[in-house]
Amino acid sequence: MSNLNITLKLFGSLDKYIKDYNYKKGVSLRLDSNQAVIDVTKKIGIPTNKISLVLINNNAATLDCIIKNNDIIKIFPQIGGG
Amino acid sequence: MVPGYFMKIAEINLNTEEINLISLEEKEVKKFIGGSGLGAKLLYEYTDNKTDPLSSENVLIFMTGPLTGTKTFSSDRFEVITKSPLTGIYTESDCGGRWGEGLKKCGFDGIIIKGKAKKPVYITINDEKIKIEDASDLWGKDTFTTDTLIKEEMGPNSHVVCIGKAGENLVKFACIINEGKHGRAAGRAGVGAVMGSKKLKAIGVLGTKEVKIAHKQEFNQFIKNMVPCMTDQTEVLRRYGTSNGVEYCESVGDLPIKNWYQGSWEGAKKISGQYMAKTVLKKSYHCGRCVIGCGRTVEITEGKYKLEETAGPEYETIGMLGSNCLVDDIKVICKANELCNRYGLDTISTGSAISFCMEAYERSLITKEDTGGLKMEWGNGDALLEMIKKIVNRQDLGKLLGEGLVKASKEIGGNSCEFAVHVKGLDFPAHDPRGKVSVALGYATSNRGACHLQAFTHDFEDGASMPDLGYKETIDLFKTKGKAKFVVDFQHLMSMLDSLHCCKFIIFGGMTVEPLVKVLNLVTGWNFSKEDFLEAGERIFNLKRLYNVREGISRKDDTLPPRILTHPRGGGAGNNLPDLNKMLHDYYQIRGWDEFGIPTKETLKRLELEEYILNKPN
Repeated sequence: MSNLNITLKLFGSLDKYIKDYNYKKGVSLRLDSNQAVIDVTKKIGIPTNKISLVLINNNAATLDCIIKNNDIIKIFPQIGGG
Repeated sequence: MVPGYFMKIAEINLNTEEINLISLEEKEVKKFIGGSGLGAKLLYEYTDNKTDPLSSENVLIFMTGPLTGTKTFSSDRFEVITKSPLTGIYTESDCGGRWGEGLKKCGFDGIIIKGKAKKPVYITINDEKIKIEDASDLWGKDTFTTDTLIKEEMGPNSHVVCIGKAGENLVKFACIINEGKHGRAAGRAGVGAVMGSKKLKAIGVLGTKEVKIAHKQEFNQFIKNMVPCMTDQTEVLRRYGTSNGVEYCESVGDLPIKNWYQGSWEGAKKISGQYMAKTVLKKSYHCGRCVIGCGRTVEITEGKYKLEETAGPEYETIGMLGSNCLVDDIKVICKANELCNRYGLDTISTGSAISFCMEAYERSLITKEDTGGLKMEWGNGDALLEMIKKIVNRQDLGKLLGEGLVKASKEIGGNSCEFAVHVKGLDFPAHDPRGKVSVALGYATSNRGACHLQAFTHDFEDGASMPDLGYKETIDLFKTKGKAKFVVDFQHLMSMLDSLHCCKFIIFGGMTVEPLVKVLNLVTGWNFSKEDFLEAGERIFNLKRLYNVREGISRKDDTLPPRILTHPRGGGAGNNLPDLNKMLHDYYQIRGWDEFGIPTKETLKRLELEEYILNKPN
């Protein structure tokens, strides 16, 4: 089972799900292969309904997208409904 | 001259066609800042509790703030302040687009429109030259065409605000549109009807002056340093618009469904910002000076709802004209939004009127005879679109609906007032106090009626935090304890944002309290502390309350409709009902108001507002 190295960046209020989260660097994670974005967010404890935008390498993606090595994943909460 | 200001307001009298220049004093702008703060002060002085909102005695005030016309993020905004024909009390309406900076660059911090023209007119402002022109060729034209025609006359760098037929026909929730088909609106409480009652079709501005900045270099650097944070943090708004949270809001019981009756709904995922991005969205739209770009531009290339490139719906529109009417077709909502923009109608109150109508129809309180043959059934998108036109043209039931929920429910009778969902006559916007408890208090105490923007706490419950306002931790959605102070603090911050005048979304990109204080000081040269800043917000909020107290508003009006207080909606909000009475008691105590919700003498003295309660109205 090969390991993946990815960078996860959390925006807005989601940064509280990682202790001492560094806004500029994000967090580096090592994962097993064949994981979807939702597997990572669930493990961190982010409620799925709070996620409004997923970007993988700055392209719009979804929670069920499979992660690849060296991906930069950005997760955003909903903002400003109204 | 105070940097950030021109210290000048133009008073335009449509009866006499006289133009008076009013000088501002530093003392008064330091107290009331600008935008809705200064506007509220002027409205208090120009009108009183005898003023009929649609008479020539009412005034229509357009105001900018000290940050308008500077590089401050999202500062190309203006505030419209007047006495509302829908509610009969204080109102203000905030608008982005591109006009506020244009007015400011003409050399005016604001303008006051007095009186009533004998025949339709429009106003052009070219730097300091103000002209009142004959609008007989424009009257009756929609807002898109009016915008284009005036821009043709004044030049491509001019900017226009105008009304459509709804304002001309005095629909009580007619709005003022800026940027034509881009549909930026001073939406709420019938500001467009006031403009229509004055027979004022449009105001075009073209300004070339520069706004002075006290510490220009430091200011420029400060703004530049914040650009990355502002852009990065708000990507979700740029990609998916303000409707990026529609599914979230449905899941927590915040999204209105079926005239505020229902708790959950499968249709939410078909009308979200994410869904729009896959279907009708062409690109984002940015107001002037804005890097966020939450606006939507949509296009529908074929079918019966075909639309040329035009402004797409915001969250409020999707909630009120979509889920609240059980309409799950995004194309219908896009078309409805376009009609409201073209003819100048507030999408929130229009959606509210139609969902109310659908419930009255379901309950057989009204029939097809009343609706001019329209089957106003839940989810009937075509009937919804036709009813919008009837509201604009004051036909059939559309005429009564255009008077607002209070009059409509009184006339329709039965128990329709039980499901007329408003506070002080202003329809609820698309956030449910049963899902987010602070919203209950915000709606009950907002100075213009049910308004989510005067407190704007809905995103900070179960979500964002603002440490420099004292809120580090997530706040529980349903908790009552501590909510009063939470709402009070946010109302002060929002009063300031409406006075400076910047878009509230900049708080999500790092421009929270301390950076805002810094920017105000860098522009004006003042030395406001954070406490001074929030106290100015408190003063402004209290002044608006005093206006309403003079109108007879008190504790009895700071309430919520029966459906919200007593009917649990289920879904994500479960059985939750807001404990308004307890929160209101705490709120009055914190504010230094008496049991009737009237600011005490001690409070007014502390806020330097004694003269406003002691003066007799003119």
